[in-house]
Amino acid sequence: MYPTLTIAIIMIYICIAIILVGLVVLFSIKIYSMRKEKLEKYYLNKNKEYFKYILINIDSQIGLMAPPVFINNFEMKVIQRKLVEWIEDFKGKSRENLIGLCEELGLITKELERLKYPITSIKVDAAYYLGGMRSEKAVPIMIEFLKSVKYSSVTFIIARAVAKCVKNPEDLKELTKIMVSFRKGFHDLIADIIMESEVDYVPIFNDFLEDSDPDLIKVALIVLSHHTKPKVNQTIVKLVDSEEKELRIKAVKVLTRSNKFLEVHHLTKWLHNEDWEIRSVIVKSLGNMGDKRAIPYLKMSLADSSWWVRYNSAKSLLLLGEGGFTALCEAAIENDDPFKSDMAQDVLHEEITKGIVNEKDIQEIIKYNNRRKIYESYFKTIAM
Amino acid sequence: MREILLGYGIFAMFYVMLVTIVYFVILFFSYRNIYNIQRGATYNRLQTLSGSEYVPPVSLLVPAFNEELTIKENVRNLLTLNYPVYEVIVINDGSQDQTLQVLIDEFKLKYSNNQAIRYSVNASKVKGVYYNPNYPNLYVIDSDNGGKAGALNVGINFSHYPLISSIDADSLLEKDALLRIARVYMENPEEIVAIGGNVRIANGCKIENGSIKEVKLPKKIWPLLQTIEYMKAFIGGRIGWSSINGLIIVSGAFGVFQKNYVIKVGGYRGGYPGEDMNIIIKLHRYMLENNIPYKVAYCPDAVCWTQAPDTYRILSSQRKRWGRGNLKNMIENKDMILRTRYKQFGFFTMPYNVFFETFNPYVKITGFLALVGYALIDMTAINIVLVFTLINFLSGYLLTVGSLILEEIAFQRYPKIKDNIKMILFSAVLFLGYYQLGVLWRLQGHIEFLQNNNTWGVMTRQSWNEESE
Repeated sequence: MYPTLTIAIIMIYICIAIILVGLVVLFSIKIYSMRKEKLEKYYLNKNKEYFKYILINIDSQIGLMAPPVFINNFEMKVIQRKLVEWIEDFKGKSRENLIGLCEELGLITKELERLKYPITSIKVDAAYYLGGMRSEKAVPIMIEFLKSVKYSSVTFIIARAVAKCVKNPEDLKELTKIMVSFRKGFHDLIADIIMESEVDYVPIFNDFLEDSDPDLIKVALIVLSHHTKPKVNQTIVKLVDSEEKELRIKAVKVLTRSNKFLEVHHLTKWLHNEDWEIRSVIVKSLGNMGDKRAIPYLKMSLADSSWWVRYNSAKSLLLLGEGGFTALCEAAIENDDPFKSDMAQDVLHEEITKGIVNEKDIQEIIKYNNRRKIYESYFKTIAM
Repeated sequence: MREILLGYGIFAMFYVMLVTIVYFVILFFSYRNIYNIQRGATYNRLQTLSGSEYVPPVSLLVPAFNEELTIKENVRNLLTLNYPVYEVIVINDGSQDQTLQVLIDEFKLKYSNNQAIRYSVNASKVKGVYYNPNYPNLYVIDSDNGGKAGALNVGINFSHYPLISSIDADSLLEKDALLRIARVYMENPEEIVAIGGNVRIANGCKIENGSIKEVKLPKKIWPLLQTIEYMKAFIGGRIGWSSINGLIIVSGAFGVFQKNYVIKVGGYRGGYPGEDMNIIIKLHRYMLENNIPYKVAYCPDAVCWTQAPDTYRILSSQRKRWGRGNLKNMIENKDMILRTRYKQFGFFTMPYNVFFETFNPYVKITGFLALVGYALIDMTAINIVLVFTLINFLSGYLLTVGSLILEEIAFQRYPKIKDNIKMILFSAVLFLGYYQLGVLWRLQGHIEFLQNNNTWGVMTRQSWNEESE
């Protein structure tokens, strides 16, 4: 017999053995998960009345009572999942009662214990549930845990859990700094995670604007640009001239949401900015403001070198009533700049062919008919 | 003569063993990553993200050529995704059937010949845009026939958002699929240039109103074999490849891209199949040549259900097309092989694809014939042929079992135990004819390439309702 053949035969036995082990593993996982699913359904059904009780008394001033009968570990996990789901959905007194119930059931203490386990998967699971149950006690351990893990999906699970639990602004600050230290550019996701917190984040992020770390400033600008009316200070104004393009754009986004800067004369000075992204943000804001004084500036921007600035200028003119619409028609027939007239024609045509969305809305019908008349006065017929 | 045949046969067997070892290494990487993926998918509450202002808006580009039977359900499916801000852009790629009319009738669209379109990449000529304000995020563009790449480029030019997603018109996305991909993108937005979704076979599933209501295995043999094949490739393979940033393809059925980079590489390459692989190679090349840190990621929990070919004729046509596309891409990018500049892509992904994917049919067919010839000369050596064939079969089978375990650990899409039994049994069939046919189809694809055949081949659709029945 060839020696290669002997090795090959040994290989056959090894393969068969591994396949058999694999099949056992495969079917064990399958049977386990099927059984788990069945049990979950059973316990959800068993506790139907108790869940009903919780929902009826969720706002109760005296809090919620634990189930009257003995509950095994698996059943407790099923109840915990339901409670955490509701904590996410409810706010105020209802949420407070649900968290109180979790505490009374010993769920928080149990998860705090699990958070100290040496196995990462158990710790992640515990952090997730502690976040769900808004446990402030868990914050210091979870922050340490976050510091110890390598960058991966797990990072965000722990960070979100911490954000949900923090009550102290200093902890929120620390959380943001840890996340930024990964230097992966996920600024939007950090902002999204921060929004989970109940802490007033505006003063913290105003402070970050003064920081020397550009990543922290970026996160601060993102958070503040989504705030309804951010308080604008000179730091943000200075950032518009920053050397880093992303900072300049983000700073302008914050400014265009501020009351103080929502004035045509404030915004138009950036219409000649070297970054097309900034000019684009500005023309969008001019449209959203609804101030007719912006019409000549927007008409001018229809000749911008960037397609997006021209497009957003045209769209903004549509938001400025008959005056804006007329300016767009004028731009469409002017011969001085083909980019300007092409964009004006395209957007006008798009608008006219859209027709009326809600045929019962009298205001919309009047608006459309007026626009149609203006359009016809410039172009005689409407190409449909 | 006997020695030559034996020597070559043994070389072919070692080649097969080497391929298998590479597969096992990739499978190992998949296992190493699976727990992270599972945790990410389990513990991230998608409900929170679905209402978030921070989730990036996406333009879904749906090229449609002769898709009258499925397009209605597909667009309805896309319009009901769980995602904050997105638009659906269907590009009718000069269909010869009623695709456009079906869409006009279904969504009461109005024609406009004058829409603001940016010309960023070369694309097919646009004949008009159809729109209905009652569906504010749906645009249907009628364009000249320019192939899938040309149509996707039309979509890129028209799109309004920084992320684009290519979606096949014969596919259905799960409600959260886009959100799951967005989550992965948001975790590393500076580096991720493309993310692929997981493509699963919809044949046999119960479908209602454009969404999968019950996951079932296909009843017909061809789609069933493809189900197992896709599971191996997408679960056992792509998770591993993505972990070493070596993905060479993001399926055309469902992938998300950073638009600015797609524009920088000139958009999709027209005139030849394999545009989905080509765009990824171009992205790798661009990022590596410019020393920009990047990642081509894969999100296995973002699922797209697709209609698989259910006849021999259509399947063989599809596989020949893939063979042509693969060969064309390898020839076009041969300069990347074993060049330090292209790092892991040049040293691992490209050589793997050339030596183990493109050359695969030649070595396997000739190697097998050599061993058979050797055994025919001396029948006492038949045991050598049998033993090595058995090793080939068992090692491949082991890979299937490994992929099925991964599926069971992280996804569990097939709920019944009999589904697993069926998959285990039919995995054997993969090795007893199906893979051999795959080798033949690839070879035929290469011959077609040499004959300058760059057509799309046969592709007929079935309506989703019919398929569901």
